[in-house]
Amino acid sequence: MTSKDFKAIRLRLSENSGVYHYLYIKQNVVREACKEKPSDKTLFVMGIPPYFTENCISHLFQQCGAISNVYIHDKPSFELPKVPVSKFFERKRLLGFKVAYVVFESTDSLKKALKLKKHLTLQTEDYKPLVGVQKWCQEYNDRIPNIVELQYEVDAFITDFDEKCREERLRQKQLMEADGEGWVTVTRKGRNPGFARKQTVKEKILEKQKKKNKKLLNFYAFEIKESKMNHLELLRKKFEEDKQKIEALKKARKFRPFV
Amino acid sequence: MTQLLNNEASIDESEDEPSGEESEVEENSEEASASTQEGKRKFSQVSDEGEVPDSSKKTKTESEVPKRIRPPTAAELNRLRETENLFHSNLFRLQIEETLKESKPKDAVLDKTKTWLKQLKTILWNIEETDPTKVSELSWLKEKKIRPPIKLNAVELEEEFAFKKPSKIEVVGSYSLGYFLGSTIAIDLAVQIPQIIFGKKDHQNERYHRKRSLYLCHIANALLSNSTIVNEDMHFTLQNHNFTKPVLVVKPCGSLGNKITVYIHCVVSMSMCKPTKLAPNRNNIKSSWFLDKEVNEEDEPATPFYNSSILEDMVTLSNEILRKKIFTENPKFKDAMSLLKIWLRQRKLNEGVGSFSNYMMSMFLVYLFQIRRLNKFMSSYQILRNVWIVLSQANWTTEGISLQPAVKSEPEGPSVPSISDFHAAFEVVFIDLTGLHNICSSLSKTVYLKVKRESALALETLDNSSVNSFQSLFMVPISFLQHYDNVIHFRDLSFMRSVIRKHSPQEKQLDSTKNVIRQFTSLIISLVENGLGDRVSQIGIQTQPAPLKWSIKSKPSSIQDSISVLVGLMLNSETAFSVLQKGPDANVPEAKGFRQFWGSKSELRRFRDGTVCEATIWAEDNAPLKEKRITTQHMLTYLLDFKLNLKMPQYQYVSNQTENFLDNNQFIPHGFKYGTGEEACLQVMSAFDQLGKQLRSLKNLPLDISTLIGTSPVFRYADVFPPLAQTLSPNPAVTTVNEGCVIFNGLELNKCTNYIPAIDGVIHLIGSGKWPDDIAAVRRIKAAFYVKLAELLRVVHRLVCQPYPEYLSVIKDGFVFRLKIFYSGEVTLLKRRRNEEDLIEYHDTEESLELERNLVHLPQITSALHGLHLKYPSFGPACALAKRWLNSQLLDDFHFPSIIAELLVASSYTSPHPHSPAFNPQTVFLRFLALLSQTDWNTEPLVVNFNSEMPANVVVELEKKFREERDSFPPLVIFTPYDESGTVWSKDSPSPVIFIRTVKLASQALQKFETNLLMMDASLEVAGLFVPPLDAYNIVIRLKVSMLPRQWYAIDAPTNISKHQLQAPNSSKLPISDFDPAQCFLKELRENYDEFALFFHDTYGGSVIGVLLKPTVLESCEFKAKFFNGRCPSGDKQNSSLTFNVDALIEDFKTIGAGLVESVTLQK
Repeated sequence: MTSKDFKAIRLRLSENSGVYHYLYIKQNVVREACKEKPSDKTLFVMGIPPYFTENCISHLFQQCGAISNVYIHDKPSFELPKVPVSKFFERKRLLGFKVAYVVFESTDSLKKALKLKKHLTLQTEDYKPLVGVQKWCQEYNDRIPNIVELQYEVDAFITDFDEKCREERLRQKQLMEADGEGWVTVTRKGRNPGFARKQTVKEKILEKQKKKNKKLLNFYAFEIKESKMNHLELLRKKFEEDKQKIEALKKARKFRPFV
Repeated sequence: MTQLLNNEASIDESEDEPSGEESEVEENSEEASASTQEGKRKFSQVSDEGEVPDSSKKTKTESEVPKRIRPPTAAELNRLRETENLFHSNLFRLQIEETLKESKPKDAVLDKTKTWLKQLKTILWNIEETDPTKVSELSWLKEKKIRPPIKLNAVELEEEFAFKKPSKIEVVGSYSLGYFLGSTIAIDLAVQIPQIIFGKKDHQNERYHRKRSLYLCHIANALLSNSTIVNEDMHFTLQNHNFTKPVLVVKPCGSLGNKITVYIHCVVSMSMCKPTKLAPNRNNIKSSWFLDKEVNEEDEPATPFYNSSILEDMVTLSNEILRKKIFTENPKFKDAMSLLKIWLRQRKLNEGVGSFSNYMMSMFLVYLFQIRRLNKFMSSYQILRNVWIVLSQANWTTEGISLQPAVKSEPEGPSVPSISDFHAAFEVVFIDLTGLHNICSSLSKTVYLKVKRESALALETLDNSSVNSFQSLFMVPISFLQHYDNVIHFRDLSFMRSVIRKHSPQEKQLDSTKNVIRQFTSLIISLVENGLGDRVSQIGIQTQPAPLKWSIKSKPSSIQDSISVLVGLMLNSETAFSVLQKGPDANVPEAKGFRQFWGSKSELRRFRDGTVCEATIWAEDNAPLKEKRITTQHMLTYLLDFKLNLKMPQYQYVSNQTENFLDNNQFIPHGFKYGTGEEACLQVMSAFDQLGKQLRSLKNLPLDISTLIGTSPVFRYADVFPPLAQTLSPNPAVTTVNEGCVIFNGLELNKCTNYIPAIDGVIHLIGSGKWPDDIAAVRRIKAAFYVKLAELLRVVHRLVCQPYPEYLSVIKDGFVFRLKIFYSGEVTLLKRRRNEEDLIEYHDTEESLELERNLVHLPQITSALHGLHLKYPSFGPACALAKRWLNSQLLDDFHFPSIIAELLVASSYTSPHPHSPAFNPQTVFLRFLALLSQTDWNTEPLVVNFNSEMPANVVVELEKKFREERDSFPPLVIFTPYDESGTVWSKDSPSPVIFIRTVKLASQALQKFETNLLMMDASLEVAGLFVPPLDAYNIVIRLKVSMLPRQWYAIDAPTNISKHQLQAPNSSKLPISDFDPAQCFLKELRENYDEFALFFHDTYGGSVIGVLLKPTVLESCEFKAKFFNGRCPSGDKQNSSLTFNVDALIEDFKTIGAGLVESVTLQK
């Protein structure tokens, strides 16, 4: 599959608009096909402007035949779009230009769509996307939650979460008991807790091992001499660093008091 | 071990060191500076080149030292040790050396100079003598049109003048002493006028000065006929800005002319006249001559300033001998002198009327050498330090110093005036070698005090471990407008003249004759000192242009008339803003003086302590801070009018012109005085504190609330337009009411509701271990908390609340607060992830950083900046100005986060060098622009060290890290005690492109501000600087003004709109808050079209959005899937290439902004 397979079709936002947008379409042919997006019935559309919704897309292509589903993603995907878990939390919006999978009910519709010559038109009398000030007002209103619903959802989640936590604790407890061969999984709970499974803990342990190899410093005469030389090196290094700083300042013409 | 190794060991052990003191110094560099201060320590020989290493020793060491380390050479060791002992730091020393190198001219130039100077001298020696001629008939005056630098009247034109050969010509000053300033060499040539020219009474009535100026003219004339050697374009300038002491400025012909300037001074021998006649208490300008008034000989006032202008010329050469001797003996003096000259010049202290001249400084070095504060073993750094120490401690206004050897003065007895005579006659006293002349006779007390202050400041800067002490001492020119809180600009010499004729005391007029500016400034200064008293902490004077220079063929008055005088005032924050000036008790005799001084302004007042005193009142007691800040301005304007009859267009008062842009005249609650917003901020804060108390008092919460902290700019006094309590009632046409909130009713919105900002706060709960270990659960628990809190607040405190999943909105006293709960574990949870070994790791993520920024760092920085404002009350309005300006350039919070602007402003208080903290917002704003535009951000981070919480070594470490890993840092790096990463605020924005643009805009703006503020109608001139240039943008989107809730804030908003009827807020419902269609639009544009364009907008009522397409976008590209977005197919063949679809983009903008967008235009 190459980019050349795509076909560009023109799109007008309204009947009397003189400006064309371009959509890029092709049949959805992929190796690991998703069963909801059958390749013989699915049209793959790219270059969809940010404010287009599923409704807009199906409105555009319904002239080719009945549409069973439209999936919108921010980039090509083998999966289905995620359904938001909650009405109030972790709602993510797709940003920027999008891609869409238009699933027709019949293969013929797909063929028809691929042969489209005439430009498409989005806005007819009966259909208008929600944009602009009206959309923002709507969003403002939508942001105000129904307190009862919110409370209900939170309560349901917390009950569910508590249940899960209890199950997890139970599972860990079971793990701590010896299995058939007498093996015990060490967890953080119980009489003999193990280490936390953290990167920092691992680093700390490694650090400790290093410390064990500590030696007496500056014991022998040569060591003292060496440490002095190191000090000298340090002074030199500092001097060199300062010199570099000056070089940098010089480059920036910092030493001309008056220009 | 060899001797050398021992030597090396001594760097850290110093057992074998010959002098014990030295080792002490090494251990503790702090002590080093301390002991230098005492001037007690021994000095080791300094050599810049170091000694040539003994080669035999070197070979010996090499065999003993491990191969990997290069053995130290003696020179290197010497240098390392020297630096530690005798200089501030390596860096400081290197910078000094580098600067001195830069300011030293090339040897080739010096050689050429030598030969040329010889030629010039030959010409001068060979000028032919002339017979006495009437001045009016002198050939050069008639034919060559040379204008004498001192104007002659009809009588004086009839006097006779004869030229005689000079008795001496000597090179004096910096060139002969061997120190230079910059690439052009200034050479002072002293030409001694022979005694025969002068008559017996020539020291009187400026006869000496006139002859001197004619002598100069004659020399100029002679030089004109040597045009192969001397450039014909000669000028006159003034010695110490004294109008009776012209100096001839001569340049060589050809390219050498760009490198050399010769100043020809005239001097005379000691036999010019009897020195006693020129003693400070003698009169030499007769009233009959100058004022046309007969006065008894005994009643003639003394003319010390005039006398010293002659004496100066008499003693120059004898002082020069001493100076030359000491400077030759002490080569390091030259370096120090160069640096001191640079230091003075950057502060413009050695220019203009009453200046602290370089000559005074060099003679001061001579003095210090004589009293053994300096010696020849000192490094240039130590000399600087000592000079500053003595300068800052001495007080020459009451205890003058003298170069005259003490022993000598006795036998000569009465011939030398006593030091008290000098003090009686002059403001500042520094007596020269002969004991006759006051070197500082022209120095004004104001400038002297400024030099003292600056010296103290310089020492402070040196002791401050900040790396940039060198930069701020020597490399930064100090702008007058940035230095002082208020600046008064007088121009037009003619009205100064008339002021003086009327108001200057006669003896002064007699003494300073032609020196109008000198008298004028002293008049103004005394007015300021008497009238404002301790309201002013420092006064500065500057005359422009400095130095004065005019062509020998033009009238001296032409340039003199263009002189303008700047008087700068630094305010004392403790007293300057008091609207009441309390005078003496009504019954005491001083009361009369007070009444006389203030005239009708003075009134009797009874005070709380029962006293009845004279007082003046300058504003109402409850005036906003904006008004109180200009109390000094009111007072001085009144005094200038009352005392000198000077009115506003005759001078400009630069204080608060830019504050007009912070005016908020539209929705002011009845009876509330807005000013620049500080009072509004206070209202918000007090409402918020109340809310905090109410929250803390709530019972029955699962976790108690420990504190409530505000995070919006209003809590830092830094909001451009702080929220106001009373607001307009919601527009019933488009809104409706649901349970607790006002919402939109779904009808088309055609006129936006008033803007009500939401004010952010953070709730801290007491610690608990019960929080779940899961981010989703934490969020839900917080939401449940909001619901619970809302319910309790509603029931217990009857507050209107609305819980949201992420925050809680509360109305309190007419403000909408948006509160979020902070749980520290949340950041950790967001950072947590499992790595490939299934171990838990913590990494910053976008989300965790944002949460940390808003809920951890912002509260900390808010409280720090709040504290800063309390200490320096100009901070808030200065931030508002800075942000207002940034926004006016369409750089909103997205491009240039406002907290960064605030930190930049804050740094002008935490590290004010080379200034001191300012108390006028406009001054701070100018410093903000200067900081932004004059810092090399590539090599320097910004360190905002609140209360010096970060120890010096930490700062050094941070800066080191910054330099080493410069590339991994964003363009602007800000270290604070709360953020040692330096990137919390500036990680994502400003982006490099935006930052470069901001810096450029700032530098242009600064330049224009500094010129425009001094113009006639400054507030009008400044207005243009808050208007954005639109030609740089590819696309300009114009918005419907009626849809902008903040339209009233716009810079160009009409000021004459009828005031809206203000109503009490409908506090039973949550109004529509934080809703601004322009912001919604911008957010959508930025989120969706990020890859194609940048969007610029003024948050405060801007009706324009500038769109800058990214340069790569417009290039045509291959037909590839990754380029499909926003592009259309192009080219002849199908599917060959893609180009950007600008028309579609414009249509998208119109679609997305439906209802808000007025028009979208594509620009070239």
